Amino acid sequence: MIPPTPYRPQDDSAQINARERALLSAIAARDDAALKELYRLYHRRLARFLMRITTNYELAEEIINDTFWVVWRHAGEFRGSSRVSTWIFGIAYRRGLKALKRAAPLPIDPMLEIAESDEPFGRVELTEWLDAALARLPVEQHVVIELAYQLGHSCEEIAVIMECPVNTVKTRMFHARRKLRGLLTALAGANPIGEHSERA
Amino acid sequence: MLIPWCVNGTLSAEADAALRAHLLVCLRCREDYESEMQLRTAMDAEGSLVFVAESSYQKLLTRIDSAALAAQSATGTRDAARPRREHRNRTPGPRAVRWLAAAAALEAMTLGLGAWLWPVRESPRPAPYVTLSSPAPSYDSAVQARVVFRSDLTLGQLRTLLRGIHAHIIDGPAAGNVYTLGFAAPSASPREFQLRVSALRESPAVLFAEPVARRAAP
Repeated sequence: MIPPTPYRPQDDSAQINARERALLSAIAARDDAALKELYRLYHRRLARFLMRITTNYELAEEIINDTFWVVWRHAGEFRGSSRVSTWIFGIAYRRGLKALKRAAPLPIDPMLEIAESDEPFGRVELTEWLDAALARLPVEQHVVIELAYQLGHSCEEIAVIMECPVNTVKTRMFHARRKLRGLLTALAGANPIGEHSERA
Repeated sequence: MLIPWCVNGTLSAEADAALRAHLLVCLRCREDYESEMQLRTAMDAEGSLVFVAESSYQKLLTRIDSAALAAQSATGTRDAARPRREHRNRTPGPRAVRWLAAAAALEAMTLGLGAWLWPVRESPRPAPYVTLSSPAPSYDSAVQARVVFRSDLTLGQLRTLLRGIHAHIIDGPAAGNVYTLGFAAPSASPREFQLRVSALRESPAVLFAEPVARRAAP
């Protein structure tokens, strides 16, 4: 069976980007209505992205406002070499990395080792185990997964956001996927589907 | 290497078509594709978290207003953090900034109390002698803040800063060079008080600023 062509986010991205560029121009002129609109457009996406990276809402909120503080101050410097969303997520990513370096490391379950695997996922409770597995990836690999699968950015856009070569993004994605498979397989082994289903 | 970008729909049309043709004949890649689709669906399905933008946005506005106030207080000029343009139905942020600026100017003209307890005085006019038993000055004693200033702060900068936020030094320096600030009447609303403390925190002249809990009414 041929897999269906998924929704392509770039189909309507030009129109969205034009609107967001107009908002940035207004923000550069200190229009707080434009700031509010752009903030509302991005708050949920940034919050989800940063919550997955930091697992701490207060920290995520702080990074969101740090990001928009930069947007407020430097909106006039945006030259349109990338999409507005790429620019904003690039700021959020760099701010998030700084915040993570300041924050205490998250406790990791020592029973769960990161091992790479070529085995495909089974039909397991991905949603339940995904957070636990993603939290155990190196942050750069985790971010690539989030930007690609949750936010729909292209490989080239992620390279801009993370300020690295495109090939580095591909390599991070490759290792992230293999590690995720290993982790999810380990989680599935620790929580057999049958037992879980019986309890449910 | 191309499957994730096919799954999220960002692959070029040409590469996407080539990959899909390959999936027809390669079981391993097809399984890989399906597992990646599951992963993406699982990540997309997370809808239980609700994020409220409004309260976060208000914090951002407070930060912007405070920075604008601090910049005006410290330099008398506007910089990149200059006040935002107010629109209808906005929070009272910019209004508060203007009110504080106007009040600071009025105070500078009429009161001249900015540094009445500061040990170094620029004015040749003798300052009033104050003792512990002197009557309380006209500031709201219910709201105070503890502050540590930068050691290289000049008296002029300090006075400008304090006037901008209607504050007076009422105690200090205590251990750690901590000063206690009182805020001039009329009594500040919680938001205005928070705005003033935020202005202190945003000021490059301040290393530390913390509000002191309101005292219970006698």
